[in-house]
Amino acid sequence: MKRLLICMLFFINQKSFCQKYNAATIADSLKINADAVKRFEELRVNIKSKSKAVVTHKYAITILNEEGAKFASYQNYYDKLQSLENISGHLYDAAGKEIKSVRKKDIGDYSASDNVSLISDNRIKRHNFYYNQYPYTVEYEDEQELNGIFFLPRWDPLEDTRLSVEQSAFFVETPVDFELRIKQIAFKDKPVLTASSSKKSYEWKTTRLLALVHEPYQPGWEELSPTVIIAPSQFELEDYPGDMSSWANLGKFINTLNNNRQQLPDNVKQDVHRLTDGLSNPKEKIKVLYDYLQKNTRYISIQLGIGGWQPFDANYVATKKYGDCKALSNYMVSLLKEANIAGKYVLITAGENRSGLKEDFPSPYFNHAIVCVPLPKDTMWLECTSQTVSAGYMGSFTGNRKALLIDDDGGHVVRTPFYKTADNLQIRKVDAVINEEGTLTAQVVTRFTGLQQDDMHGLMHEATAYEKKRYLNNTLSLPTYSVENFEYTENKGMLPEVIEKLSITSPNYANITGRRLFIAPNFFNKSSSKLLEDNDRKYDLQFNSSYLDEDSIKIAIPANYVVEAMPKNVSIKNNYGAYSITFYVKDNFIEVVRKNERTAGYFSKNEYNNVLKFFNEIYAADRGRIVLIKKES
Amino acid sequence: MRHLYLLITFVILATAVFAQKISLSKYKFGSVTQQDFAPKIYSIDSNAQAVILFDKGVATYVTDNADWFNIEYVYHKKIRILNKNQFDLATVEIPLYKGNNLEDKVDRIEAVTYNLENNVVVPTKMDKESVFNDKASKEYSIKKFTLPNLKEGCIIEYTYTIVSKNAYNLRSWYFQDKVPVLQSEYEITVPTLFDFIFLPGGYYDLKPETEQGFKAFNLLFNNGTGRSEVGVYRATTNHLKWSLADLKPMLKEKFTTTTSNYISKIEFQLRSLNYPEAPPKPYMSTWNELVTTLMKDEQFGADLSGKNNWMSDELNGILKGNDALNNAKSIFNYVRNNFTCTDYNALYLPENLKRSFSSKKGNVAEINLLLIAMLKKAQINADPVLLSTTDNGKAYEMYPLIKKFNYVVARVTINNKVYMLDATRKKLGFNYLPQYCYNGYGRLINDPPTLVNLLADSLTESKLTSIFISNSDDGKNLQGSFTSNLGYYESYNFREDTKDNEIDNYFKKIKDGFSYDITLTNNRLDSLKNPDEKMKIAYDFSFNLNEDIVYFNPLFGEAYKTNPFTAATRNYPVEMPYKTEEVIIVNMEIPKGYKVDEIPKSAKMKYNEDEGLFEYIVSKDANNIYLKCLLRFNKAVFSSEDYESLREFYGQIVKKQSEQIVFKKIK
Repeated sequence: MKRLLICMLFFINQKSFCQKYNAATIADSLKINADAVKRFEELRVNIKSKSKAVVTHKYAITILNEEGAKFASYQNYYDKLQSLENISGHLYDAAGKEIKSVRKKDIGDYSASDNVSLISDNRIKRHNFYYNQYPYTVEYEDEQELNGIFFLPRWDPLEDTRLSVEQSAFFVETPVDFELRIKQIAFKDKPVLTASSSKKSYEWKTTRLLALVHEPYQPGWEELSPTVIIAPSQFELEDYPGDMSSWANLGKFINTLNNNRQQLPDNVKQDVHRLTDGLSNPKEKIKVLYDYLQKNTRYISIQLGIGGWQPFDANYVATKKYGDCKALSNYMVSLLKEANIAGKYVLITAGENRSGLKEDFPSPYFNHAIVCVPLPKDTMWLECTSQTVSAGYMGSFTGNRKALLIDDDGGHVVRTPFYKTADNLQIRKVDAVINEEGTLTAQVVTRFTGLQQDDMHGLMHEATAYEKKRYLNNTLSLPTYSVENFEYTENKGMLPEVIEKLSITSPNYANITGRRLFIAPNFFNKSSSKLLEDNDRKYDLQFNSSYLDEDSIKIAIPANYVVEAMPKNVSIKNNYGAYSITFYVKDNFIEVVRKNERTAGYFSKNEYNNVLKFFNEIYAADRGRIVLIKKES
Repeated sequence: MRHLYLLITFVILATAVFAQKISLSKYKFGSVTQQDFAPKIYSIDSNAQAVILFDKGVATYVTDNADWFNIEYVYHKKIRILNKNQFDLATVEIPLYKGNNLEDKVDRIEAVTYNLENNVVVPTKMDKESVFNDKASKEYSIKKFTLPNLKEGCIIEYTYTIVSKNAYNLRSWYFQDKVPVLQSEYEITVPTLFDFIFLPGGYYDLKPETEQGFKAFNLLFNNGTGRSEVGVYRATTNHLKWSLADLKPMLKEKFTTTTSNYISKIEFQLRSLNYPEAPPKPYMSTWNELVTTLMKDEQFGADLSGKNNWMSDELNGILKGNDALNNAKSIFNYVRNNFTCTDYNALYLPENLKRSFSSKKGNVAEINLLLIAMLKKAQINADPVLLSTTDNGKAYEMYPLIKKFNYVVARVTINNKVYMLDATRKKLGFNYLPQYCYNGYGRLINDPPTLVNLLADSLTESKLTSIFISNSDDGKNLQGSFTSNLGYYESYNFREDTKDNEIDNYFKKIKDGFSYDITLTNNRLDSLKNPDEKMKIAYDFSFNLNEDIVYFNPLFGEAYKTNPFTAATRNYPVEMPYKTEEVIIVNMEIPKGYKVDEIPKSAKMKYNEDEGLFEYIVSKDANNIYLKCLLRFNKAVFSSEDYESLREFYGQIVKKQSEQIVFKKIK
């Protein structure tokens, strides 16, 4: 009897084990819009003290098809401040039967220095079973020891679009007297708390999260994906103790890292005085010193250990004439200080369309440093890693978001400039001739300002003449053409502008069929976004920037042609912007005026079909065609 | 085997000692003068934002009392940087091989930036702490440094020395760069013991200056008593120097396999070791020898001749009947569908085939050699073919230089018919190779080791599109069908690019591509899931006309809308992936209630006599319009002289294909 029982137990265990990752048991709802399903996940953060935590992560993902194969590879990072150990993993077939497990020698270990950094101590470990009989399941587990709890892992079970989650859990364990701070996004359930005499623990659990999809103009991932972020109050990073329970305190910690790093060598001090002593206006002094920084330094990123947070001192930059964002910002502050101007070091999350810090949750999720000089009238913002950008201009990389200004008394939340419609212009004037053969020659002058000049600024300064030519010869929507001449000039300022002058020839631009001449007169600014119908829009819409485009086009056409067909004039105005295009033919000239204005904003998903209609009308109107027919002689 | 004793014998016989003639470089490190800053622009390219003033490499065989030769490479480069967007040139990465007891050592890194301040040349030296070591992988580490104190107009100069333990591999030299090079030279000093073949490439004439010298090498040898002793080997050396001046930058344009085929360079291949008073000992083998070696090599062909009983069970499950072709297809499908390729750039097996077989993954050599092993076990005639993919540059037809190859495929012969197989891509069918394999000649690894023609010119991609348009029964609409029979590679790319969840969107986009409202029905993507077949895209449509004048392009979006050749000029050949034949046939009923007011004229255009042909043939009768549009190229690769006419030819195609039919409502 006893023996039978043991056998049965064994049998049952075996069976339940097999079924654990049986792909057939996945609910249909989890397969909608999904290429992979996370079957199980356990993320454990065991905070031992202010300076130590152990993180274990175990998960299993069933890969449904080839597109989902990207979820099958394991990778994780480590560096001087966090180790990565005990990686194990298993591969299961469709029925949940184990086929293989990870061999240590198959785990790759690589430098994770990005292309931007000269050197960093980040490294990456990778593994992949490279299995291809779908569906199959991979299971991985690893362990990390954090030396300092400045950053703690976040729980974001959905990870990416087209992945659904069967179940996932997040456990945090802390000493009893530890103050854990918590921020939940798109996730309602509060954690289950348990406490003993020696420790506190928190547990979040979720089941059946449906896969997210990608939709045009959707809000950022952070707003859509259920996430729990945790942060300490007191912490240690290497040997530096700190507190991040408030932005003020986090700022004080940054001050301790930056302390005593602003001594300039004598020759640089002399340069500062030589350049600024004769000036009275502080804004002038800032501009002169910023220009000095841009002419004499360049951006080189070196991130080793605490150097990921602590800038190289001003003397280092003065000697080598290079540094990363922290070192260059700290150097700029030092230059300003020598001229008796109070520049402030600012931490920010840089990147196009990135959101700024979460004001209600002090935490160190920054990736960049800049400088702010508060002035009575307009505050000056300085991007110290660029050698070309205008003093005072932030652009789409750092503009329009909240950041942390580090003052002597600690941190303060500040907002970088927002660029409104009138700031972001693209005003174009085209003077063109179309001859009897249909060849177009055009002089194009365009003024770009604000956010609309960001790309042109980059082209102007970063591209070689050859790259500019190649870019220009591939970028216009003309069938066969060449840019004969180009010229860029820049007017620097708080709101910079770039003027572009192009001479273009396009043989056969106008089609000639027998007696007729077909001309699409809106040459250069055709809307490229046509939205596809979607009666099941899931997310709201977000337009990140406001702008205005204005095109005035005048085309001389060969004599003896009369109009046979003209596109309709269009004029639309709504909450998303305004658009108008007018066509006019007189004597031997065609004139077109096009205006297209977009307003930044957040719109309900119910409005998607209105936006679609708006965009598709613009798309069609931009492609209007004039047909001319030769007068019978 | 290093025949050291042969060398030492020579030591005893040596009677005369010659000092090696020292070649004095006209470029001394640190010799930067005020005049060097004088040019504001350089005549080689007035737009240049940086110029390499000189780039020099010196490779010398050394011994340093070791038991065999090392090669010491001294690199020295001087660059004028005119614009800050070229500051990246001041960040240097030196990859160092560190595997297999042949690790590279780097030494004597020196770097200086020179700026002209108040007419004085001010040098800033890079300090030692600014050199970083990045362990990139198990085989390679990278030394990195960046120069200090860069300003626009500065000159940077750096030098470093690498000692390589691989005496059989003399490093190549590339004379051109992404910016103009005023002077580039490579100097080698090689004992006549090492007999190298020189393989120059590129458009500039590369003739070396040569002279002979003598040099004494201290070599550690075993004197036979078990003790090591240093002996002196006095050797004749060959001294060669290649130099080129005023080199334009090398930049990649469209329709180029890889610029490395056209860049000016010198490469080396060790032919033999010529020991004194002994016949040359071949190092580079003949193709026949190479085949023998490869087929015995455990990392290549050794397993192909074995019994391989470990695969019997699987194989028996796959094979059905005695039809060799059917069985070959079954084996191919089995390998293709069950194995994952993890590296498309490999010639050798890291593990034996049995191990690859059980792990179900491997590099391209593992997968295709496993395929061959299984075919052979099934008594099917199969052999490996080595080739170089387009990215990897062309392999030499003449020399058996294995390092120029990077890919293995299978060649199968059944009933005197030859099939080429590559089982590494899920969506590639039986008897098809990926496009990138068509890069000249492959080499059959069998006796005799014949060349395998894989020229792009041997491939033809054909596409036939038919469009039928007629009036609906009630005369209110136009309706019809669109059918496009794609070529194999277009089908392959379509399969690779179209995810299952995007198929609906594919037809939505077609619908949106029309400037008028159109209804699509009966959408079909035939053979989408069958990689052995070419695909067919088809749909039925219906739309109506209501304007008084209708301008109608009958090609239905199949036309070339832009010229693929954007650059105005070109310095090297245009390499299209295959020969082309595209035909569009339109058969259209004249819309009810309309008459044809204007119709494109027929046209015919030849390219270089018989190399290309474009036809646009229109005819019309009372009720119908017929159009046939054909584009054909009888070759794939065109010389740079052909570029302008090719661009013009495409320009004319774009123009003709955009022409419209004009219908007018009958009043």
